[in-house]
Amino acid sequence: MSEPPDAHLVQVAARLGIDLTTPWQRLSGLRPDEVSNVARCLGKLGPTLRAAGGNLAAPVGALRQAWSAPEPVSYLSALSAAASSAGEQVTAAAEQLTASVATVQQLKQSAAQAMRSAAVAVSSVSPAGPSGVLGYDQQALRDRERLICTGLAERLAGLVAELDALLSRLNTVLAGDPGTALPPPSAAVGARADPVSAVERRSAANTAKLNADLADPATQPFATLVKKNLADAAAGNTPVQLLGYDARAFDGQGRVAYSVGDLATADQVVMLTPGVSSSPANTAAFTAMAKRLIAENAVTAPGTSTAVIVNTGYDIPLSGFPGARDPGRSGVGRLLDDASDIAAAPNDDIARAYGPQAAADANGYLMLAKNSALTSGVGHSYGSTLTSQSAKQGAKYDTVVFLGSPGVGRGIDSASAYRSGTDRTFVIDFDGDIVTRGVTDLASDFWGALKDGAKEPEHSWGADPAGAAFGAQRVNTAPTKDERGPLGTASVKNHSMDKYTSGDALAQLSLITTGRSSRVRRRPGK
Amino acid sequence: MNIDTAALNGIAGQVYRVQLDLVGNPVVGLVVQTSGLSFGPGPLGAEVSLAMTRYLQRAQEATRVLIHRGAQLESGLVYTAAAMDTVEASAAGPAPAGPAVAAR
Repeated sequence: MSEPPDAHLVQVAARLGIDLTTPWQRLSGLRPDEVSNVARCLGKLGPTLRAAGGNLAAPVGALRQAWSAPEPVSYLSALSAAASSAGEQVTAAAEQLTASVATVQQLKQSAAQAMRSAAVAVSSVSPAGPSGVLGYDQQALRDRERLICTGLAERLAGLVAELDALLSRLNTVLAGDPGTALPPPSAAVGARADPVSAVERRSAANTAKLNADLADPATQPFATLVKKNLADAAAGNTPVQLLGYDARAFDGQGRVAYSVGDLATADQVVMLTPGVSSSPANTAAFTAMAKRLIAENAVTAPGTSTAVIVNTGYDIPLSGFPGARDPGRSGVGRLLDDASDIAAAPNDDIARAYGPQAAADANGYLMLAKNSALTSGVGHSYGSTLTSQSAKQGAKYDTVVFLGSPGVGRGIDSASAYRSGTDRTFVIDFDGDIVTRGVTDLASDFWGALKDGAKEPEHSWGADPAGAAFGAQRVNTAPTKDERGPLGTASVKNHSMDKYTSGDALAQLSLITTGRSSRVRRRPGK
Repeated sequence: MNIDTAALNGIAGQVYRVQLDLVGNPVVGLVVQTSGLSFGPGPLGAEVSLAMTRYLQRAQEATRVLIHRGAQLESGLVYTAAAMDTVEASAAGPAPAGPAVAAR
């Protein structure tokens, strides 16, 4: 937590158009204790790994004597070398962090010292209280104030530059993976291959359910389409894992969630949730988006891998497909179903009701990933409302990204409601998007007034995450092809999920989902 | 192939002790809350906080994989030694009663 700066000094600087608060918050909010804790942990682990490497190397000679085959000796040597190398890397990282603790403390103290000195100097020139003291040359006084404040601002800027250089160096060190050199299990020494991952077991169980549904006339149309989507997604040897599947969910609308890319080994895991009218039976477009993001992430973060979970696992409004929702019904019954589905779209009712289950779904999938995987919840349109509700209910997302969001759902007024907090919650809203410009809020409010009267005064989709008050990081980007309506008005075409996952927006999304968020372009909230 | 079963069992024991040392390190079992660590405010501070957390997790994961690989190697050595005992025993006479795998 940063200390409040000297109020009088800040006031004087603000009068002169000099911002002291921003650099002061960055410097005074530094947490050398946190860095020190991590350094201490790594400092204990590094020598342990190095010792393991040495202890594994000790019997290499004996093994060569005891077993004439070359593979066991090679394997033991590789294991020993990898352990030593991991230990050295971890120790080096610990040393870098330890060294940075002193620098961070120094930067913090220097900032505090500079601030105190300037505060004393300013109060001697122009004491707090009523201005316009008789006998002073006002211009000379202003010049003195400006000199002090400019000097302080320059000093703070210099310290911030030092901090940024330190953080960049640390970022490079922390990008390493100490486990890279560890050899895979070797059958040559009698070891079995790694057992089938929990993801594969889960996927196999869901695939068996899907195959059984192909033989049932009630579920056959849905299962056939899902099977084709998965087969198409797997083209080009892409790993595809069926994480969630239920053809009968939501009155036959069905629910499907699958990972594009191997969830068990991915360094980054992205849960991608689309919005209104997305059908679990027709996910080809989402697969294409997932593959685009995976390819982009491979460029943004070379040497890492990404899995994108396509999540059509909630009761998505207007997502039925012909023959799927209550296939046996027709006429008035069918019309009533459709009307109820339409009524669900212009508000957050489903997202709020399903939030806890959505969080449980997300955590169930994410627990299958590596412990060190960076996890992101990304939702488009109504999918952002659901993502918000699931994040609030405890979905374990390191970062959250809202694309073209109509609102985060009622009851949430700040990004601090999520585990990702204000620093790691991002909003991408195109200026020409009809949904993010509030036009749809009017329709929603109108519908809400019809339905509930004046009972719920908030917008029916809740707070706009792009609003300054919400506190999220608003990304500065635009669609590759900006398609406005007449006279340049916002358009529904600019709301398409495809646009939000293409071009520069995709590049920004990639920076966020690979943990390179400091390079994301930002703009002030609305 | 020349295999000294007693030596293999001895080496398996050494690998096992390495695993024990690793498992005994308190950092290996540490659960890191990614939202709990903070380097400081600002975009780069947030990024480094996350990078710091993930590095700690990767170091823990590397240790767990090493323990797992060690266990695989150890069982492979013990299994091979036991298999050779059985082969040698078969060549010498009737199969011995009881478990073939040498006790640790």
